[in-house]
Amino acid sequence: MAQSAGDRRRINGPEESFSPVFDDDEEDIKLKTQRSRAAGDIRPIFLQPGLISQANGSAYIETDKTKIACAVYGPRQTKTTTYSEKGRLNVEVKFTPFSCMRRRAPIRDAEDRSLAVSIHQAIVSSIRLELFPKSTIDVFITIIENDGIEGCIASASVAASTALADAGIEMLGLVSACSAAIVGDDIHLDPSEAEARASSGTVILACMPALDNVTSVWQSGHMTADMALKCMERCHERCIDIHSIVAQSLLEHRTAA
Amino acid sequence: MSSISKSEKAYIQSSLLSDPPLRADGRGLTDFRTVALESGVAPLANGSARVSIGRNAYDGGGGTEVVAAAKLEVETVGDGEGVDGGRVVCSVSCSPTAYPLLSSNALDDLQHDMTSLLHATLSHPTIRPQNLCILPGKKSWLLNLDVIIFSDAGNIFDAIFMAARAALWDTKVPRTRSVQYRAKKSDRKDATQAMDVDEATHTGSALDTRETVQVSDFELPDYWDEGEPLDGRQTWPVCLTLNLLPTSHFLDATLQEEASVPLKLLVLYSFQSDTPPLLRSMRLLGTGVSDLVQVKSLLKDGEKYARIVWTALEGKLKDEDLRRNQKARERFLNR
Amino acid sequence: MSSRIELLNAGLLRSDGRRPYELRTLSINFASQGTADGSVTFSHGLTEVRVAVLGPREAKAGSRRETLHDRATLNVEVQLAPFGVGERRRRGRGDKRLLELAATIKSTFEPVVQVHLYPRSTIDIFIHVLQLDGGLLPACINGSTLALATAGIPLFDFVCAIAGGVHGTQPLLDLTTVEENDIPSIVVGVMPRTGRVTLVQMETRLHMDRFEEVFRAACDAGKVLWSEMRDALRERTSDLVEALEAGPGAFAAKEVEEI
Repeated sequence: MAQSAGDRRRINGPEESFSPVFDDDEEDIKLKTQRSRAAGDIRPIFLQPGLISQANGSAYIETDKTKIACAVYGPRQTKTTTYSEKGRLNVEVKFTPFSCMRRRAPIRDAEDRSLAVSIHQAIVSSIRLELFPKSTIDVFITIIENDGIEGCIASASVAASTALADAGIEMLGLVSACSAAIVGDDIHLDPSEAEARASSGTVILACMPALDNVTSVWQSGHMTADMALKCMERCHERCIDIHSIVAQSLLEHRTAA
Repeated sequence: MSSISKSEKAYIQSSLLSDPPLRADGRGLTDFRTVALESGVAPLANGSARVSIGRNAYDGGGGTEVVAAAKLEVETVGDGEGVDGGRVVCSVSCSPTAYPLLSSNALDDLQHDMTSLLHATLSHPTIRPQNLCILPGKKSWLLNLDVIIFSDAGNIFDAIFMAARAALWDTKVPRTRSVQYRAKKSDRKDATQAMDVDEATHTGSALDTRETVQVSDFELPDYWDEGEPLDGRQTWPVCLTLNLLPTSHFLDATLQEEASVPLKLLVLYSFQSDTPPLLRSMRLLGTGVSDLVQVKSLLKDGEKYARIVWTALEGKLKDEDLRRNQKARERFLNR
Repeated sequence: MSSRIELLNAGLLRSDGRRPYELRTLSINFASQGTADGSVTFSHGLTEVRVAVLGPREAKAGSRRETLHDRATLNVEVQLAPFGVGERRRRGRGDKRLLELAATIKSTFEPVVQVHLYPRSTIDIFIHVLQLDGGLLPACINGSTLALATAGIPLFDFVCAIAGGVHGTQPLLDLTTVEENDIPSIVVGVMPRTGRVTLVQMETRLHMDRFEEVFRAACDAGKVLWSEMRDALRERTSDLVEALEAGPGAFAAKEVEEI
């Protein structure tokens, strides 16, 4: 049946064709997974609160190739008429069309939503939502450049928490997040996209270092429970460092303003 | 999903925390409700299963009910999303009967969240079955796993993964045979035994000295419901939801209990006989907080419970295999 | 493909071994589905549908505007399991064929359900098609009738629907997918007590002289279906009455005895 649909009047090309395979492809990947830093080090973080002037609070974060802007609007009145005793936290994530290796169509797709859900999980328990009945806090995150989904989730959570603090929304503590990947037998913290692809499992941990508690754990791939715990502990150590960066940048922003 | 009042919440929480802990249906903290499993419920799929948790005894209704089915499609590698070696795509859809109070947008979001967890866990490259490949670099099987939630009476994630595991266990991959079209006079030595060689009348060069076997297509030697099970079907994980209270945790929550705990931990383990259990996925869900010490102890407990669930499931699945094969044989004899 | 299969052989047997007027096996299961007020799993041959009825109740937050002040509105949603058809295809909520099917079912039941008794409320009919082998619309309608009845919603009458077709000059009843694809067919929904017809659907071309014959055969088949459906419903109701008289826990006790 399928054959009848083909074009019989012209000479068609072969049914199947293959693009040429280049020799250096494999080498390229190997090159990319090589780290210039130690396994326990994370990429340098640049964090700038208050970059978007019309938002109530905002932050811009850059870790090497990952670039994310985050804006917070609210607390403002919930549009729907239903009464809610606690405030709602609404997280939306957008990728720019040029953020990945392949062009992303600028429509809301499946990945946006799952990222939004994991960022929501990371920051929701830090906000005192019980103080904002009938209102919504909107967090809009734009991923300008993406180098590994794990890193994106972690950085975006940090940016979102910074932006919330910048907006003056009452919180229990600042959230910092870190990711880890298992490459071979080593734990590589803050993996890039190539590293994450080469890994057998990844962990993202979000916590509030000031209160010493965990708000989100996001593990995928496979690893033993001991390894997962080790990853979480390493991430937790880095989270404490990240926390001081967030606190410092917020402080600098306040004194400058 | 159900919304309950503050006093209901406090009532349920305090009875769960009391000593001994009390639950509305009289279970202990680590007891499951009755789990019923039946495989082969969708004859048009390559593998399927229905799981219900806590259904009532007299008419088989009520409780959480989930149906999962796997269907295989042939895909050309490099065409669109086709990957060499095959791939697994999962989706979860909720019947509006399961969540009658949710608007259609909220329902979409919910099924999306469930899909992303299921897909992230089961389609991870590290767990992909080896026999989804038909022709290396050319054709492969695309395994579509569809899960439908018919009703939710709590503990939905455990039910989804149980059903998914049973459906994948039940899945039979059709056997394929490679076929090659060749010029008439060329050397026949390069055709392997397992391969059919169609002689095509061809006017091209008879000086073809290629030594490699160029497989161009495949055919199905037998009818589709006979085939081999997926490779490594023991490794599909089981999910366990630990509902967290400040000092303890409990399993298999009903809807009311789910609504009254702020935080739950999902752990997915896969067990194999020769290797230590592997963590396949872990998620912390809810508005509460935990800490590393608690997560550590929960992982240990979770592994213990997950092994019990896995053992029970494994036994049941083997029974189901036996039951279904026997039935087919009897049907044939009675004819 | 399908034209190669002989739909009706010289001995007047169809591709699945039935006689021209023979119907496929019915199976009706009233097991409860979640929190639904009325529910049924209805299978007709290899076609299987699950129907759940919720209501009459206040409309959901989003659709509250659509309620009417003098009667209840019917809301029908149809979903198709991706593994229920030969070729897997995901149909979303906005799929045109499913919306059309839902609209047909809604208009069939509007004159049958006594909607004037429940002003400002909605009655939801959720249909999930698990497996498809011809006669989708009839199965949905018959299932909905039973589910509405078990939900205790007053109806003027049953609606019993059946598909009919013509092969050559021979009318056939209760078509499978293979037959549906090849021969002209109609769907008739009858109210068996009054003999009135609430639905006739024809999407193919059918000779005028043949129409009446098929139509009459389908109306008669509707009455046969009615007796089956009525018996199932009576059995279910008598079970419930028995349970009511025996008091709470009777079912559990019965269960223990059986074990």
